[in-house]
Amino acid sequence: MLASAIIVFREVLEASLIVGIVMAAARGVAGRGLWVAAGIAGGLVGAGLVALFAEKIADLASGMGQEIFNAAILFAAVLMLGWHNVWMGRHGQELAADAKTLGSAVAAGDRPLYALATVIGLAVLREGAEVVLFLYGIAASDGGGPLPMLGGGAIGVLAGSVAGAALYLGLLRIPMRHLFAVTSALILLLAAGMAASAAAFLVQADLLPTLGDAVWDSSAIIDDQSIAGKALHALLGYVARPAGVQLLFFAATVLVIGGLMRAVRLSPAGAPSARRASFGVVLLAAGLAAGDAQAEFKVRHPLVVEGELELEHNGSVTFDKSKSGRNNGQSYTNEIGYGVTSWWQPEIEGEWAADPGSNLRFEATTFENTFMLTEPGAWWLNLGFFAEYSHAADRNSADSFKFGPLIEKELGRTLLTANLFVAKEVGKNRSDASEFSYALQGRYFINPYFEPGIEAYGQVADFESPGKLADQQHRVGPVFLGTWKPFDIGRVRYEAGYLFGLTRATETGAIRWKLEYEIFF
Amino acid sequence: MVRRIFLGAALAASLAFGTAGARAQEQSFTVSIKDHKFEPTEIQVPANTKFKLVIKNLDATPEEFEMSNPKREKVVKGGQEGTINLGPFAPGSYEFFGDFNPKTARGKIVAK
Repeated sequence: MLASAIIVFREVLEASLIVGIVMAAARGVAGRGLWVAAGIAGGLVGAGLVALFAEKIADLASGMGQEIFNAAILFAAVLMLGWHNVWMGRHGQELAADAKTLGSAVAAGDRPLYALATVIGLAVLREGAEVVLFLYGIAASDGGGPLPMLGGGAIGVLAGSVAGAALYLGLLRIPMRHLFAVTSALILLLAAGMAASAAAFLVQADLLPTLGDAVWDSSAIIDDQSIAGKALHALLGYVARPAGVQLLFFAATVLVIGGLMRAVRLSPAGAPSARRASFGVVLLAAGLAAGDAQAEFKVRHPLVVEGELELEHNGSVTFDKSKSGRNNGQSYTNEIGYGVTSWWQPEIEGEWAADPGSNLRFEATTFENTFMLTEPGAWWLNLGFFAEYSHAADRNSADSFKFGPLIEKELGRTLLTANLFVAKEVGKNRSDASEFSYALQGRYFINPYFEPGIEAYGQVADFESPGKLADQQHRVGPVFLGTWKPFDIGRVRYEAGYLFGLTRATETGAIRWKLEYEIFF
Repeated sequence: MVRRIFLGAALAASLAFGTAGARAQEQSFTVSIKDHKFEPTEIQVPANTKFKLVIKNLDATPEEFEMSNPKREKVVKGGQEGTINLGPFAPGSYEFFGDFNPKTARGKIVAK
């Protein structure tokens, strides 16, 4: 009886923690009780159905139906949670202000409560199905009679619900104005943990590579089968031996949902005011004169492979306080390159950018060249040279060229890379500044799929009169990268990172990513 | 400004070529590619020493010799040879594979 109580408690605990958080996040909303109850009821019905058809589901997708089903449910929950958080980011401040004037009851009309109800329903369905199957299995096999098992199960359900209620009540003690931020953070972590769990199921279904079976092993500290481990698993997706791909999904979810939350919160909904628009124009002009604010965050390596064709996409979004006019600046480049000889790789690139407050537009066409000067590993440093010419799409903007060394040092599993570039404008409306920019990266090889690292980027608008440090742009942050072969031919490389602005002239934060496909021709 | 750039380039170049003499008398090991497989599949090398690896492609089709750690990629056309600079390696094993035939072309370098 105790054994079944504990097992049922652990499953119910996971669901009830989620219910507690979601209910706290929905606090002050009229009618949420109904939605939550509907979610729980729907989840229970669904759990029963899943248990009934468990065998049929498992047999789908060549025996991987169970795993794919679980992954799909988890991804659906991630989407719902993400959407709720982004929605709250947009309207949360208004609602908090409203709550003070209207009292604790806020009109529920706009709020995507059904999203929350769905999340609750899915959580109850997942855990409920396991509980039902477990109890059924015991009932079928246990000679001791169903009573002790059912009694244990009932105790488990009760205890699990109490834990969830405790979390909910604890969250309620937080004042309304902070509750939003706290529950948003909890929901973000919830979503990231679910994404990581979904990834684990897809690994089992052979649809994703592990990217490293166990990046660390913390089972000595918190075993994931213990109560604490299960609670952490519910809140964060904690596992004692995470696969690299799980960490990847966790981080990616945090970056994507977190990034969207910030972008949505920091730029007010609705059309930009005239004042913001004119400020934006001033910044744009300043940017053109000084050389555009650094948008392409990319570290280049002194490596050329003859005969290799590359298709690459880079993107970045910068964040800042909405009043600064620097929030939500986007920059994307797409390029195609080819290793013509064993030491020369030319590339053609298209650049698109959306400055804060404006729409996305095509900015420039760039012709880039990477020269590999030393064979990798032959000398103390790997040396290369880079030179590009960029033709602005706008006839009234200047063209520019940029060049500089690519320097790399191999130290066992660590790779250190530096790009040091000088850029000058040519043609109409050019400035005479000599812009200096750098890109630095240190990365550590864990396995081909997952390499964590740190990178830094910076820009000095004119190195002949560098000015104050606070007026230059410098940023630093973590990155992870890797390569993967999802198809038989060619290879995919990815990079993703977050950059913290270090000076007053730099945006507070930026996310950047790269996706590349290489194939030999 | 131009002078500063030249000074910087000269510094970088001298750093890069700093140990110019070290590569002159280096051990060289050979691995062949035949029928999309490496021969031998295990190569013993001394630890903490720089060395070269010569890849002889005896097949008619090209193969891309690749290592993840350290990062090396070299396409060797059919019937051709290519050289890779490696080391110094801490004792251990370092895997390589043929990127065009990753299932059959696999091997490792064991540093002792």
